[in-house]
Amino acid sequence: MKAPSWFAGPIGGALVVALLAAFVVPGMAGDYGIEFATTLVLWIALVQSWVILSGYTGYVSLGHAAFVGAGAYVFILTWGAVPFWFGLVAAGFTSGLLALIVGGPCLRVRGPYFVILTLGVAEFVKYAVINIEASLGKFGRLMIGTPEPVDIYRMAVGLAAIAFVMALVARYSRFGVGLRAIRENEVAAEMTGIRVRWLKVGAFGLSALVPGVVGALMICRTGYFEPLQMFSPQLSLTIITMCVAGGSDNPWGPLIGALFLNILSELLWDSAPELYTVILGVVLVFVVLRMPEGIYGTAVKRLARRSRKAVPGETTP
Amino acid sequence: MSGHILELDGIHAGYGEVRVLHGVSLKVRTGGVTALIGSNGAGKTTLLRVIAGLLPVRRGNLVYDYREFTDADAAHRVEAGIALVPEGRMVFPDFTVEENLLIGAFTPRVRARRVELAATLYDRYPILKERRRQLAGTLSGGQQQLLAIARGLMSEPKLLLLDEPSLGLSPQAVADLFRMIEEIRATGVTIMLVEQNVRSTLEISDTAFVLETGEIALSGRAADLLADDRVRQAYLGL
Repeated sequence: MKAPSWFAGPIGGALVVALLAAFVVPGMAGDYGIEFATTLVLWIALVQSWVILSGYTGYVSLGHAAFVGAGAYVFILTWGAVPFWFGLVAAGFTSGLLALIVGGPCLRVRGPYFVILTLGVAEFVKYAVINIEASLGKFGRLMIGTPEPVDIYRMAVGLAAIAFVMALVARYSRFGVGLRAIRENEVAAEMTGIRVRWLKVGAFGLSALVPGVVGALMICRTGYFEPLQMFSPQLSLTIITMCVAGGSDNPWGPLIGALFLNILSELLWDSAPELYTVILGVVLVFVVLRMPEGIYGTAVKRLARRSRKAVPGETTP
Repeated sequence: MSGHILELDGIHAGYGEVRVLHGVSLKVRTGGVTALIGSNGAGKTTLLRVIAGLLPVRRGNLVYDYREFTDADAAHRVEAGIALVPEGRMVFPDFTVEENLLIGAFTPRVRARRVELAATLYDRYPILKERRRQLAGTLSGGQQQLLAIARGLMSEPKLLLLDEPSLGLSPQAVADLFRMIEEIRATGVTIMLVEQNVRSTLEISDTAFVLETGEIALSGRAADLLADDRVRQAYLGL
């Protein structure tokens, strides 16, 4: 319900940050820094894509790994046969298409049923790929001639910027109004003339584009495709953890969640390797209990209360 | 008055194995208030859901505004001028009053005029204007009902379906609600009203249908039904 010009600020900001990240950070950081930054930026891309369906509509998907894995698989299959960029785009669109296909039946059920169903679909896709590979006599595939880490990092930054803009436009457009109305009350949304099914399936398809490309970039980093690793449910769970920690009603919450979790775990890993997961767990429990709307959602509420006036567009959780 | 805005012919519908409506046929006259009364479980809410397109017709025919609408989806029906205000109000609790209203004009026919439509409703119902920045979930029951009806009016319906609007309201709020229904009727919108509150409903209705176990048991002018012995015994406790 905002004029499109409203997007100009955040989109311009995202562009500036992305350019700085792409061209200034590599000069300052060493190899280790680049690796850390690449991981961080890929997580940002994943969480931004996840909120489009799961954050805005409340249909929590545990199946994001399927889209990462499917993208990676298509990328490795086409590796060497098509130009690099074409492979990346194909990876994204394959995952988007997969989401459109499975979205129709999956999005008929709500709540815990949807969560379990998406997990099941992701596992199904994983074992389908494992079996196809086994029948071809392949147990993992190697890639030769992958791009330099700095170039992968820059592509990841570009992808994260695209994912952020997608999540932003999806949130503050009419499309996003419809998605959030579905989360609030799906029957009431349908009654007011919102095409609930189209919106849900469309959001599922959109949310699967970016993870497909993430999958392709992930195997470029390792130079190796292995289905168990690429389709790991752990990946889906980590996305949810970041979004819950940061808040998932807008693009800012997942961004903060991804930064928070990645930086915290890096610091802990470095300073207290034995206690790292224990401390991380305690911090997460604290965040979930004390900040049910995530770090960002809670901070916005506190600030709004302090200044005693509403922050436009941000007061509705 | 002439013409029928809605014609149902032998409508069958239900949920899964449960069959609720067994061949409902009725005609709703254009203009005025048509009441649908009946005991709990008779299928009143189900019938409204069928008319709004939230529940598929299994057998039978639904004609709205002289056009075949049996298989149209809910969005098409809103676009064509059918609006349902559901039982339990179903406002979007974490959206503001204003956001709730604007979502009411989601359908393309009225989308561009949504701000002026909201302004008109603010003039008619000043309490909504006063509370426009408040979250809908924090309104009183009567105010939520008012908001739910106003959200329905945002799509400029020709046929407004009201499902148990007086449920859970204070006597004062119920009186306000019936006055509001008469005001809406005066603007030319056809109203189909489902109510437990049989006497007040028949008093403001022109025509009425009595639904019993998924079939129309009685129908006629509301004033006649109010005097009918069967209605008096079964629904008015006289």
